[in-house]
Amino acid sequence: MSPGAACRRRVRFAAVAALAAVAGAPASMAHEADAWPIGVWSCLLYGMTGDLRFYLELAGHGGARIARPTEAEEGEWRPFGVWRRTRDRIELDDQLNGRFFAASLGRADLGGTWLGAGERGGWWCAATAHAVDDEPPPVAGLIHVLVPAVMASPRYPLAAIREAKEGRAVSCFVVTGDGAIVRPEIVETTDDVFRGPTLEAVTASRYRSWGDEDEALPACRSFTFELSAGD
Amino acid sequence: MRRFLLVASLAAFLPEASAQPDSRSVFGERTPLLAAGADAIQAGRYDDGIRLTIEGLEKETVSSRLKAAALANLCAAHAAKGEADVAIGFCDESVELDPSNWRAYSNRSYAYWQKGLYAEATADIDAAARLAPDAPQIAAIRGLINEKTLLPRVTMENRQ
Repeated sequence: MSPGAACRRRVRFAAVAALAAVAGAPASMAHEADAWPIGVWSCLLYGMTGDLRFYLELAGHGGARIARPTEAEEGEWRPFGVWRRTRDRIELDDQLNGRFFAASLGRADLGGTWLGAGERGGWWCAATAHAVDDEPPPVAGLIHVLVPAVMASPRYPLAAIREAKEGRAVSCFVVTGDGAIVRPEIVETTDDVFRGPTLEAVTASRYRSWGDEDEALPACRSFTFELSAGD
Repeated sequence: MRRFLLVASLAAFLPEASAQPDSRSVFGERTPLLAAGADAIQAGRYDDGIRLTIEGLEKETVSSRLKAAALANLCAAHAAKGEADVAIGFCDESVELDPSNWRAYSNRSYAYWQKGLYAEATADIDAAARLAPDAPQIAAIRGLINEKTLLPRVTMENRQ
């Protein structure tokens, strides 16, 4: 991108942000009536084959577009599929890869689980201040590496030890520019007994500040609870 | 923790008197001393319960099955008092008389657990579970064993 284009983008971003402050950007209107989740989201997808960061644009007419780092670098969106709101969740058909995404309503952030052919995983999105039909937000928001500053380890629930119960839990959350973890949620868990310790550990963790006070990033952390026979 | 252990042990020794109506009626009508001993143990009056049960075994005529139940109660009372070795002796006698009495295995498991003999405790709780798979007392004692023998580990992975 040329310096001029970057400058124009910054100006445009500032203008959109200002509009958002006045009128309420789509993403910042989370849970405000019917507009949610229309807007542009900064997302993380995780699965067996790895993690992917991308921007997701959900338009009011049900269209969805994404911008992975390559597309974001070029300032282009790519058609992704269609989304819809059902009685209790948001559903998104990924027509590019044959995946189905679901997200619960009633969460401040957008995310949940996805299912593909022989594969499954989770996804989590943080709101951005960008508007639908605008260019994708800057690629920097997709390639920044979050560095853990404090990784609190969860306690193994005593009830689970007594019942010889093993399992897994995944918590997703939003990381603010100063590295704080906010709004952690459980996206997957094999047993509710792991829910509390997982959320406690995530809440007690934080990342290094990454400098951009205005933009939050989505992240997830998985926890595998295992037991082995002692001596 | 102490309170939990006490509850677990009390639950573990509830004699046939409370779980099997036939045994209770025998304990109640023909073996008043054994019945009173069981009640005392159940109420946490272990010394009284032990005294009454021993007296009942000496004075009352009982089948080998009921004698085994009474011995299992003595085992439970001594285990509840923290006298694991004495408890194990009574449980051994009980099992010998009636190998189908799951409470004797369960009580002996608890006594082994008190001594830190977890392999023996596990073998006995497995035997008890084969006889009474749904008994909550067995799950409670197995939980105590698991707590001492299983090493927990949590692996974390960042996704971003």
